[in-house]
Amino acid sequence: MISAGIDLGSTYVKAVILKDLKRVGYGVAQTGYDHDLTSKKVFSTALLMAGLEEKDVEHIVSTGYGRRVTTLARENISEISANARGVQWLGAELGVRTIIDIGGQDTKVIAFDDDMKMINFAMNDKCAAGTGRFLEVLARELKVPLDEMGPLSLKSTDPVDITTTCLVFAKSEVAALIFKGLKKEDIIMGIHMAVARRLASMAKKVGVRDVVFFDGGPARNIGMVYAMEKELGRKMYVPEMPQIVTATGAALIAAENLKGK
Amino acid sequence: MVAVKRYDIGIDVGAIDTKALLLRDGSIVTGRRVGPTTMEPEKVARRMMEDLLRSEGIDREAVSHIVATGQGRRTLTFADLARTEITAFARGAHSLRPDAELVIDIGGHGVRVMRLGEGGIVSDFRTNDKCSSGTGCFMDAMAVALNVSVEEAGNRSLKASSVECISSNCTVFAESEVVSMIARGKTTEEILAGINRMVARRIAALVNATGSRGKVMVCGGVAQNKGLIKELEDVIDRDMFVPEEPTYIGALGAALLAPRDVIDDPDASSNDGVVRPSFIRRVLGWA
Repeated sequence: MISAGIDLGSTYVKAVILKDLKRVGYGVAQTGYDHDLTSKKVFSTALLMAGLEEKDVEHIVSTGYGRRVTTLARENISEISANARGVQWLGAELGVRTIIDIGGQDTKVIAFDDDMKMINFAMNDKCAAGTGRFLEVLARELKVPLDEMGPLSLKSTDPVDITTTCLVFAKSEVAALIFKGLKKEDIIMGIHMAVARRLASMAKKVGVRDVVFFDGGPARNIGMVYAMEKELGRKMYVPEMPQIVTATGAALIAAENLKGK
Repeated sequence: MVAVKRYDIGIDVGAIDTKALLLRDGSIVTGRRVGPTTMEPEKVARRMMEDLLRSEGIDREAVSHIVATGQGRRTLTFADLARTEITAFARGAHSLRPDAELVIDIGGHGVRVMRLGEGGIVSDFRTNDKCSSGTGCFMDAMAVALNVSVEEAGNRSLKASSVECISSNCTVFAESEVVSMIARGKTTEEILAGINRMVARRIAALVNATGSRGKVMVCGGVAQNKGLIKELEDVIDRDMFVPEEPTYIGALGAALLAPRDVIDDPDASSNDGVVRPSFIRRVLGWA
């Protein structure tokens, strides 16, 4: 049985192919302007990796912000459900009770009960503070490649305190800190702490229990993980490929719906 | 005895622009300057002040008070006093229109709505200072996305035949939304009108929160945008007044906030009748 999940995020499109409930291929690409075209490209990358052809895939489920735009999928589900399903599967033995998912333009927190059933969630898609975009824009301001933000921030000895919430104001604040000659690593850790504060306060409203699963693209940032652990005062579980958890969940749902038919 | 002119300077160190205003005898504006605040606001403000004094032919000693306001007011070490922008804008607005009950200040980094009571005293205020939506830098970002100057944005929005609906409040997300609207072939005018409507609604929410139904004065740099004023008039629906130079109301208010009672103290003047700034500083404990 072969199924696929395509997660059309605001910033990246991700595809995952499952063969007999094993991940055999995936693809990731920047969303760009034409969501449909990107989803097709990402899907072919995943097919190539899996050594499969499009006709081999029996069912495709799309998710994410652009889930209705892609012409590949015949079914779509919300990213909350897809992410929850992905974590139930990937983290079945971990005892996950909270998911913090940080996306390109939004942030979600999902709470599970003791049977790993979703009981509550919160989403911020109204404000860029605490999203991947916040990190992206400030990395550009600092002229540091996004991938280097994490490792660089770990060198920080005296993180700055970013006092503004709004990304636009934070940009001016960071510009002023650069002007003052503060160390890049201290500014970057300050930025990570600012995002972590936003995420943590949102997570606490939903309820943080036991194992916290941290996913979404920015969860690859080691400095972000460090800041989250510091802010929440507990360990975070970060999967190997945090960016494709939601796409994996969509592929699983595709497989289950196929079985149900 | 020679008639002595009294001068005060109000400096409004805003998040984007710094404004300086020279006030004679507490009533006549004899000069004003505006320029970007930059990373060194004190330097900018000092240069502005010196420039003002030079062009008016006034000695520094003839200035009785320098009053700073705005977000960066504390950076001016040469100022005699610092007052919040709430107090300064309320004072400035009240001096021009004593009948205004509400003052809306749309600045570079913040929107403030002040309700004035008896004698122009602030009885309540609401601010939106955590979020850049609807502020001057929001307007700047949208103008950049649309490739128009902020100066022409207002008039162009008035030419729109329909109004686009901007669904994101967040500056960063609205920017992306505007870009995709351009790609979908919406006209600059329609998008600009949509931006003004969205901002007007946000400001109206702050206005409603004060519960006031009185006359409104709109000031701050963004008040120069005629399209926004028109939208504000539509959503707030009451007498609205925009001063000729809305940018300077904070600086004007600051200059007007210079203490006067000390001047009236006979001991404050020497025999020739000249008020000694050093005396005022000493009296007020800043010497």
